[in-house]
Amino acid sequence: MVGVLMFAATYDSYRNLKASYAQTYERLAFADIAISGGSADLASTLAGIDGVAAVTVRRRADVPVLVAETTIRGRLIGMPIGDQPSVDRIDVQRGTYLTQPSDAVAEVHVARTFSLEPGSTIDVLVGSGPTLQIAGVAASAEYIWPAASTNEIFPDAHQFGVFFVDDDLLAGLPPSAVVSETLVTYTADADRATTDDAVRAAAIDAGATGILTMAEQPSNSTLQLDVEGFGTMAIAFPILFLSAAGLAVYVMMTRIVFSQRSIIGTLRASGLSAGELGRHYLGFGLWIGVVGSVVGTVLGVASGAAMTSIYTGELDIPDTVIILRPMTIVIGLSFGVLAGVVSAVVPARTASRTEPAEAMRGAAPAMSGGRSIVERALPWLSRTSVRTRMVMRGIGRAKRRSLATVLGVVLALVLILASGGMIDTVVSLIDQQFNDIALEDASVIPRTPLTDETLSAIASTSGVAVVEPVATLPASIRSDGDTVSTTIRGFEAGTRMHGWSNAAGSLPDHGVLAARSLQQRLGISIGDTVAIDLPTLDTTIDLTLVDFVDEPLGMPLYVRNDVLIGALTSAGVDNAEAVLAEPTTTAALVLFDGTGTRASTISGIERIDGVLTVHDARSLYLQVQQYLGLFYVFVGIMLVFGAVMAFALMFATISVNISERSAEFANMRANGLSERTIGRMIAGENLLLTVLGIVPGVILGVVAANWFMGLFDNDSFSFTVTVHPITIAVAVGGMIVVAILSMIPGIRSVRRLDLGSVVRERAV
Amino acid sequence: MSEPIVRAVELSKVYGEGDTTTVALDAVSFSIEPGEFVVLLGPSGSGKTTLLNQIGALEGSTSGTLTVDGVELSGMSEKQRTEYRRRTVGFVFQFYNLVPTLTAHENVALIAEITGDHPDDRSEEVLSSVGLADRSGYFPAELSGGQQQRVAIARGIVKDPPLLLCDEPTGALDLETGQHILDLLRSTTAGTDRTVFLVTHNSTIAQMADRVIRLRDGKIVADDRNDRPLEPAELRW
Repeated sequence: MVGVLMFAATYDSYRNLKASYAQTYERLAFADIAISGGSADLASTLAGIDGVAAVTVRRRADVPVLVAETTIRGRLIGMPIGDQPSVDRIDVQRGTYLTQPSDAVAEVHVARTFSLEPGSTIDVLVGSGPTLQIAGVAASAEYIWPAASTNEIFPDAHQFGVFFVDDDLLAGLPPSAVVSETLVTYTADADRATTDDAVRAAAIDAGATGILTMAEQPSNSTLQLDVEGFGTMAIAFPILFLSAAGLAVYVMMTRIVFSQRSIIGTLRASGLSAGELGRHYLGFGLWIGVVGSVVGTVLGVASGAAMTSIYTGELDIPDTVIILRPMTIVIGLSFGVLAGVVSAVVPARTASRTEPAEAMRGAAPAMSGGRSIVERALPWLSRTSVRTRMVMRGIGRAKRRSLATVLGVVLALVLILASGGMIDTVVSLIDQQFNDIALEDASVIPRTPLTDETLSAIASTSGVAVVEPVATLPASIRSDGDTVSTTIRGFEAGTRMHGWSNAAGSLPDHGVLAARSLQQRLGISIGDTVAIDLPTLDTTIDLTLVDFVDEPLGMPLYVRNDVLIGALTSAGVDNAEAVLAEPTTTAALVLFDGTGTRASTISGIERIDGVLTVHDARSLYLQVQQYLGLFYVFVGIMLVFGAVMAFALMFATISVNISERSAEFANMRANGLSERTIGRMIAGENLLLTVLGIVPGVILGVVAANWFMGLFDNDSFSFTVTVHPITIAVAVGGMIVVAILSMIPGIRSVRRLDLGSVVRERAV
Repeated sequence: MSEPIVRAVELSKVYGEGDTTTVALDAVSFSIEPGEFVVLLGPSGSGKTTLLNQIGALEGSTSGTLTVDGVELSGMSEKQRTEYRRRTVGFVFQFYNLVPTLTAHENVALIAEITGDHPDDRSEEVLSSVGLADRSGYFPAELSGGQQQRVAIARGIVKDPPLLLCDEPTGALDLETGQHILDLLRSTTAGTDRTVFLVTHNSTIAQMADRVIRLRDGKIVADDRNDRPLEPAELRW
């Protein structure tokens, strides 16, 4: 039932989520491809390509915006007043769309964070510094996951927010902050790959500086990664459960057939055919499967609808599509019935092949004895106490049942370690990103171009240890006809604000460092000269690729500030140093000395004239932890299910073992062995089986963790799968605890044996 | 005359409650001397096995007293019962119930281990005494029914108990094998103070006993001494 429930719930949720995204994207005409830069006639060129449905041109800019007394990085997206554009429309949920130039529509995340409602105001802190009035709050297909870029995949709505404004407003902003975009949607019957190629080629010919397909768009790529991973788990995890359930049914059915031998013999002697008998016991399995799968399917479909609603609610997905899918019901029922029937096949065959005469004699077939594999491998074990030998040999007396127990442990460990490995990997990724790579305690956004005076003032603030300027520019790196949108960051020589994972362990004094994922994506190698387009500066620089860095998030480029200035100068940018110092380009990164509190140090920096705002790096870290809350809950549920699965299977096998050997145990008690001794022997057998399952379970669990996390490896995430030794130890310890708990009812039943009557029974 | 090894006074055992009670033993009283070979005889449902179970402390009584080797059994805790069975009683059952994964030697040694007296040496000695020295390394599936029962007897006597309780030990065996088993039971107790209780519905077997206690409907209907017990080989059933 649990397996079918899991399948129906997760598979339906997966399909519902895909449908919800699809409906939102279609309704809001989410761009199939977005191009930055390019010539003025690019739009008309693209409109003439086969498969292109609509083309829109717009501008966007990342500038400081004052929202409810907090200065944040605001992404202003230019929209026409009155009517929405034909591509990348927004879903106005409260208030109205833009009706006048002073209007702004707030994206839902920043609106929620700062309690923005129609009538609220925001101030753009560059250019003419207009005050805009919030006309409405809207959702956007581009920012369902409100990531600023592929290199900034974890958004913090306290520091970054999206606003939809009059496109003409962007004309008054510093050109270095503004990027022009051409957005394209395809026709329903367009071949996506072919059309992508054609559009991409046209865009490159037109001098485009960035090309982002829908698959690469940060919000969509993150969400699709999540959904597809979910979809894989919707199949893989239920299979694990159904396998364990099948094993449990097999164990119970085997016992039932064995205990009914004399009845079977009588029925056969009375004329029942072997086939009819086999079908009778197959029917057991069928009914178990039917009942479990019906209940599981009903609960699963209901759970799937609930899970979909929770998910779309949590992520503010504008559309929630919940469909009752007959195929989910059919597949769920089939899974459950199949598990029940398949697990009953062997016992049913055993029943149908039972010789009537022998069965009616009532005697149990003589069980052949022998030394255990362990004793044969280690002969000295044969000199241990008889009780110890009995434990070692006990696991071999019902080999299939013992194998079922071992497999149950393996399956449970696969589930637990795959889940635990996901948590470990994500924790490791975040730890690496925030503790080994991005080392700053805060970033200071200047009000005016960053000067040495401002830097000195920051450095003199109580609590500040180090301050450095860091430039960040949108960039595209081109190679072999492909272009990847990313960012280029300029650091000071000997910077203390970043941890370097290249071979030299430091930022080189020439050339550029690139993310390892770019090597795979573009086929670039160390020593290559790479062309880097800078759309906000309308220029291209050429730099030598010095080495790669292994970082978990995004595909960044890194360069020394002086190298960047030199490259810009060589590319014809006048006064490159001043251009880079623009507040929209360069921020100051700060390390604290620990003498004051974070709040007091930040407050001291914010009082400096020339400082617009300070973003606490810890705030982003905490925001990320919050995003992962749902993920941790999901993994926690998987861990519990894994333990329950192991318990159920071990309980089933122990119960059968004990009931089969009740006469033997009663005899031992009659002859003076204590309950405690017998209990220890039972425990010994069960723990021995558990240990036999632990080694392959741990190995396969780590393999499964690698496989699962591999599903999430893409341009935005690049990581090494980690399964912490503590996780393995906890999983193994947990299995042993589950094994002990599963034995308790059985051992208690030995204590309650009616010795007087049981010792008279023929052993069965 | 020595003290009786077993003394029962008004011993009763009732199963169930209210309207569905079964009186399995109804105020039976008897005493047995050490070294006697006692047959408990009666038809099915007469209470003979119940009485055997009482003597073996496999279950408690409802009323009355039962004293074995000076120890009062009623009111014993489970721990005390286990200790009593460990020290005082050996069992032989109809269906042997040997541990299939242990050899003949190991089945006997398993019981010897709990008394802690050189289990391996003692087990070999006892298996020899029942004529299975050359089969000690065989597993139960490799032994005949009679051989398995001999292992069961060896298991019952390895700890040298004052009492040996046998419940239909020949019930699953043919005549000849059964005679051998009865002969074995006789011989292993000859010259010792070991008292044997043997439950059977077969009145022929009663002819080899020193004492025959007949039960019917939970009551002792006869308690006779047999002045000339027959040898097992002389029995025919």
